[in-house]
Amino acid sequence: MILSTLQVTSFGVLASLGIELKPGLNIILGPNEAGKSTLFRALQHLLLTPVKLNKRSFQDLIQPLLPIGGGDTVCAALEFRVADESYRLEKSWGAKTEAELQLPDGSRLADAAAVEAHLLTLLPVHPGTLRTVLLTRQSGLATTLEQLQTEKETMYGLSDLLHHSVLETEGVSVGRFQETLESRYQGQLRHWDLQRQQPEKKRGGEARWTREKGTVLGAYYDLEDAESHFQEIKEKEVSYGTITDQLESCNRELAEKQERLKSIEPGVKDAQKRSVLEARLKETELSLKEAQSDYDGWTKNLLRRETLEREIPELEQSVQALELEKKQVQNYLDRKDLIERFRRLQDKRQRLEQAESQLSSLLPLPRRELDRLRDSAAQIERLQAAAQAGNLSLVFHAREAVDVGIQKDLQEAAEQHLAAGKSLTVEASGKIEMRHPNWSLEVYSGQGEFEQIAEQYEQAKTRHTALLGELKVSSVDEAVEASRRYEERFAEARTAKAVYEQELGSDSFEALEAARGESPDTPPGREQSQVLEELVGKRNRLQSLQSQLEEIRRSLESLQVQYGDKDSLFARIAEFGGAKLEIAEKTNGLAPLPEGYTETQSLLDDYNRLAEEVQSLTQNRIRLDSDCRNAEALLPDESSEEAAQRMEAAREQFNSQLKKAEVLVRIQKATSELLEQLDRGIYEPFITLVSRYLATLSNDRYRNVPADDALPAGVIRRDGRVLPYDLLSAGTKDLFALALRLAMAEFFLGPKDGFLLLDDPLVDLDPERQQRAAAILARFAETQQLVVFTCQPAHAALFEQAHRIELERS
Amino acid sequence: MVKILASADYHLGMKFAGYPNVQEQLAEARFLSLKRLVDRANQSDCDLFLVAGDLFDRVSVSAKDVGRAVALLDGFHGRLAAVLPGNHDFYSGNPSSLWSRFSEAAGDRILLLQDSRIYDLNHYDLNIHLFAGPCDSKHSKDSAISWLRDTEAPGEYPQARQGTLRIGVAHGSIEGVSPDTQGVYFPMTRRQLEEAPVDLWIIGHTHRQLPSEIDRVKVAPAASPAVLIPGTPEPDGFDCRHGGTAWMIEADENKQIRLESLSSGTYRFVREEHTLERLADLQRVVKELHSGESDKTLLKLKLRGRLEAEQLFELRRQLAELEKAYFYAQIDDSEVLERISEQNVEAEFTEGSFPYRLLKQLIAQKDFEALQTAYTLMQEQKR
Repeated sequence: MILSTLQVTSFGVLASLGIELKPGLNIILGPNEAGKSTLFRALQHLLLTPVKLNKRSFQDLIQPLLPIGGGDTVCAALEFRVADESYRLEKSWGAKTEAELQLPDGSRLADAAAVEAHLLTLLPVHPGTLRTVLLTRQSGLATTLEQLQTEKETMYGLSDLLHHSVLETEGVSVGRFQETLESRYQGQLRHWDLQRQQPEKKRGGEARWTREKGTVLGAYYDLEDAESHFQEIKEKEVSYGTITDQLESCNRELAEKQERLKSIEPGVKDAQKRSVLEARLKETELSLKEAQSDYDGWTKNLLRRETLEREIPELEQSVQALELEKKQVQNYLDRKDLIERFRRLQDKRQRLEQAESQLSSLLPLPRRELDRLRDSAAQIERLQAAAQAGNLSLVFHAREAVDVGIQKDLQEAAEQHLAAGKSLTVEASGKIEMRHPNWSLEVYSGQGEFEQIAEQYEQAKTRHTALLGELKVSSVDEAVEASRRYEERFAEARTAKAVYEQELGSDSFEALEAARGESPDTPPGREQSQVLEELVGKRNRLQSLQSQLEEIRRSLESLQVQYGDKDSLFARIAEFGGAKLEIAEKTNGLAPLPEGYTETQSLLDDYNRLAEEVQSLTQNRIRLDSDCRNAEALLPDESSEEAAQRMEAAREQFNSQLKKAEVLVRIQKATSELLEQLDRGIYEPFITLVSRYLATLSNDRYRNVPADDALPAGVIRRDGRVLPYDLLSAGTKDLFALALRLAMAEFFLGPKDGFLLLDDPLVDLDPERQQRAAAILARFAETQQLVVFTCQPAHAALFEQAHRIELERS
Repeated sequence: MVKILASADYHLGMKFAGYPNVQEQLAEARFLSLKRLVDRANQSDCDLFLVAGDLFDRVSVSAKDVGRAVALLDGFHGRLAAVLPGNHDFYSGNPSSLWSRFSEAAGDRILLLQDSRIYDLNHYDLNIHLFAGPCDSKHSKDSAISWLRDTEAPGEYPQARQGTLRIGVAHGSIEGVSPDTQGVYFPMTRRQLEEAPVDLWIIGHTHRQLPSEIDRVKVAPAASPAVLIPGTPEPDGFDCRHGGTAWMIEADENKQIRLESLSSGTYRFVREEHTLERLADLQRVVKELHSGESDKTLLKLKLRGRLEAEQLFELRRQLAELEKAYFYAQIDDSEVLERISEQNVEAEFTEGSFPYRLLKQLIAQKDFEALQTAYTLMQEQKR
């Protein structure tokens, strides 16, 4: 946007004024109150203030500008060019509120909102930037930095601009580029775990991602399908192969066994006959052996019987003699025993008589009587104890001498003389009785039972005495002793009697005495044991021989029954021998056993086993044939080799997709790394530009500025010292602000046509700096329109090439 | 004199699911190659048509495909077509298997070499003993000819007549020739082959014909048997660069052998990788690619490099034409980047600006892929 003319009507101090502006440098020179500020404000409002304002905005912005001489409307008009096309903008505020924009084709926009909207598209920068950066009042220059620091929108603008200049050139937006890259990445790698090289969450096989699959995952699933298809075919082929192998092996084995069976079959028939003959031979041989054995036994038994029949009677006689000898020895021994016994019996009888005599000399005192006596004594003691159970104490005072009889308890009464004035204390258990010819005194303890006890006591004593007399003893102890003696003697007599009777047994003494009377026999020639030993030996031998004879007789009878006689048996033996020879002849006439066999049975066993195996294998083959048919029906319509080729193609495709994805990953990585770098250096070009302006303005005194994000934070002196902005002199601050302003204008406007308004930019600079500033401004004006307001003709004179507009004080 | 057409690895029934637009043509071409070779054998009055394994791609090929194969082999007018089961169409003895269907359909002039043994072809008026090494499974660490080692007694061999040609027919990898890092494709050692009592070997499994230098060359009887790999008659993938091959073998009474390599395929698979740095590179590559039989070629083209913007534009145009010209084209030019120089960046972006610095940094890092992507994104924004 290049400003061409500015016209104000009834605007503040100006009733009417129009100025013409040129591209490049324009100096508006006028003394104070000449209307410079009004023109400045008119331009600012034309471009930035809508005509429709609320009351407060109107009061703030327009009210101060209402004509001083009177009037309720302020008007201004601006002609400008954008992209070499002319526009005219006219606005009025106050009573008359109008806005009109004449477009290059001559048409006009009269709707205020439409005018504003269209105007916005024509501005070289955002409104905020225009206000802050391009339209600068005198007071503004010194406070540029502070203002920028609070003017967020402009700062964002600057930041955006800087980003844009780096990141969004030539129609390539980094954001969009990243979005596209991400979209491609997702398209390629959605649900694929690149790091683990597997589907996310391992979702393969039956649990696959079904929606929004990335290309890589799709290719992976295809590969998985191809692999599984291949495996399936392979397994079926292997399964079929296994069954056919089994079938083949079965066939081979069957053929071998059938061949073997066939080879031994001819020998088997004769072998069966041979087997029968061999059985018969075995049987004949057995019968022959048996007959021969019987014949031998017969002969042997006949001889044996003869011997026994001779030996047994001799032995019987010998046994009879020994029996007799045994009897004699026994008789002798019996008599010897009887004599001895009678002697013992006599002794025992004597001891019995002695004991009975001693017993009869004693008074019999049986235990029962003794017990009666003891009970009687015990009763007396009990009654005595009962009579003494109480406790009596009697004190007797004699006023005059007296003789009294005193009887205590069960004791006998006793006379006591008591002198006059003496006291007598009598103590007893149950009764105290005092007698005097003139009186008597009885004292009892308890409730009067004492008399009764005393009476019982007397009765008991009487009975006891009678019992002692009856038993002819004087005391219980004597009775006990007498009883003990009697019991002892009694026991002795009883024992002696038992011993005697035991010895006597059932016999009578007299009979034994009579039997003993004969004189003893002569002793036998040898001991009884010797006789017995010989007798037992001979008896056993006799018994054994008799048994043998019996056995032989039974055996001979049996042979007789079986064979008739010995000659018949002999004939039978000859018969068996002939049969054996006949069988051997028949066996020799049979075909020999096949090679490798020595026994018929082993051949037949082999034959039967082979036949069974052939049968089993035949059945097995039927089963395997069926299995084979089933497995064959399951064989797929494609060979595993073909499936393997397809699997490899799928793998190739998967790898290719993965490779493409990896390319995207590399670009993403490079992009993010680069963006990080760019972010770090985003303000660098701007800071460089500010530094360049500052160096020129300060004649290289300040060469550089330290950056704090977007904004320079001070200056770096030629000697390298860093001076923060706050410590700068007013002149240096102005220099700094001017450099910043120009750099920002350059940045914001970029290659677009635009303008910069500066109000007295040289006012606080020393002449030398003014020179340099003027030169820089002139250079700036070579690329952009620059409008400098000043009230200093000397300053205006510094801009020799400028389009000069002089205002007069109104 | 006996004439034999020796082939292998037809892989009939292959699906080519990875080539959706041309799947059917590729599958069909395999039958065409069989027909073509049978016709060729008839034209040359061959006595024996030999397939050394993998006539079929799978044991589960459709009955229709089996029927078609039998019908084509039936079209051979020579004395016998002998087919050996390979590791893809292995013989398992399964009564319902592909070979049962095959045998049921085949006439008496098609012989299935299903057993590891010597087949005396006298019955077919051929003075030939075939030493067969069929596969009985898809994988095996044992070679299919190890049975030869076990048959040491001369009495095991059929009675050889005067001039009987003994041909070993097996399927599996050969030490030093076929890629078989795990040794699971019935691997045969050189020594096994050399020491075998045969005059020549026809070995299937390796899809590349060997020896590669022999063409219409006579092979004199030598101490060790010649090892002939027919190769696949119809290429089946980009790792198979030839046009499909088989052997025509003539053997005289003295067992002098004359070989001819036959070309039998319909389609070729061409895999190319080029780096383009200048216009001349582009022109050369485009010229080369236009020179072949592109309408019968499957092209897998990988391009790399950096070109100027106009050259890049030209490249895209040329590639579009190539794509139209080729039977099938799989072109990956994602690694051909626009040459973005420092001068480009300086001319286009303000010094110090973000685009300027990012692009300059990527140039300095030589991260041209990232440079290209970032630049493209910026261009898109500007538009």
